Amino acid sequence: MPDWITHIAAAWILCRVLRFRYKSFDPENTVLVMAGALIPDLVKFAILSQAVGWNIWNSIQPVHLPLGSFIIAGLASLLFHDRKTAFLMLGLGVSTHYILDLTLKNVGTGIYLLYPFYWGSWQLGWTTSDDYHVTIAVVMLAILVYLVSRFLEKRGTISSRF
Amino acid sequence: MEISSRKKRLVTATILLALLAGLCLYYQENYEAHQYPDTTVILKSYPVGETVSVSGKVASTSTGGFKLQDTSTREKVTYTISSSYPVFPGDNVRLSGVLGPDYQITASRVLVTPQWSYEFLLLRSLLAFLFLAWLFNRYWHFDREKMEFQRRKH
Repeated sequence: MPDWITHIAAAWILCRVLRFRYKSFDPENTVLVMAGALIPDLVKFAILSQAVGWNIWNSIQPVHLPLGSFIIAGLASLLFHDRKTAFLMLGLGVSTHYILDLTLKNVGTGIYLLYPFYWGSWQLGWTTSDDYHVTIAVVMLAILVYLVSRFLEKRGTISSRF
Repeated sequence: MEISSRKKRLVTATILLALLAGLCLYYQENYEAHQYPDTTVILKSYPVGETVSVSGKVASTSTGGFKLQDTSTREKVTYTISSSYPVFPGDNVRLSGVLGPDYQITASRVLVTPQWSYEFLLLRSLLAFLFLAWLFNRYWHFDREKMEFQRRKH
């Protein structure tokens, strides 16, 4: 995984850009997309179990595969009044997570994007998970998008919330 | 909230949880056939001569290689890695390579994450999580009666 700053910032950038055109990407739904971007990394709970000697990585790995993540997004969306919108927003966040994770280097196989229907795996191998240059670049882009949106707000083109 | 709606949610949640459990079980039963053997498989069947994929911390270095300790299983395994890749004790390493006798691996691909870099990754991720938690709380609140998150009015 890239770090969570990158995941959250990328989700925010996407929502802020989409909001220029679609009103549904309001601050509340943007937060849902940002939260959805972290759903696949629930698999990191395995780190805690590993600390006590239980290796459960291969037992809960589907949490970090698209279908498993979308199921968790579905579960989480049950806690919202407008479940359909909540699921779509959380699901969009999940999708941004996998787009970013595809860019990572891997020594073994890549991500089983179509599990359980197909075991083919994909990985672009452009960067490593700890590369903070990616974080800096994404945060800079977020700042740029923020400044542009502020400029457009002042002109009254878009709403000023968030 | 209506009882029927609550029941509906409970049934949906049960179905989704069952689906997720099924996915996890299916993965656990079948992953070995679709990826390089890891330490769990190595301890079980020791596939000598095959390409394996392991990870762990560098315990010590020597000319032409290093010792890699994998602590992900109950039984700690120390591999002797043949590689010219520069590493330092404490580095987190993931690698693939051919497994020889006595836990020796001739590495073909190596990914190194220095310990400071790994800790920095965890730290900034923690900060991002705290920020998101604050943001979520700013825009949503949990209605215990209705058992659902609702938008805060701004």
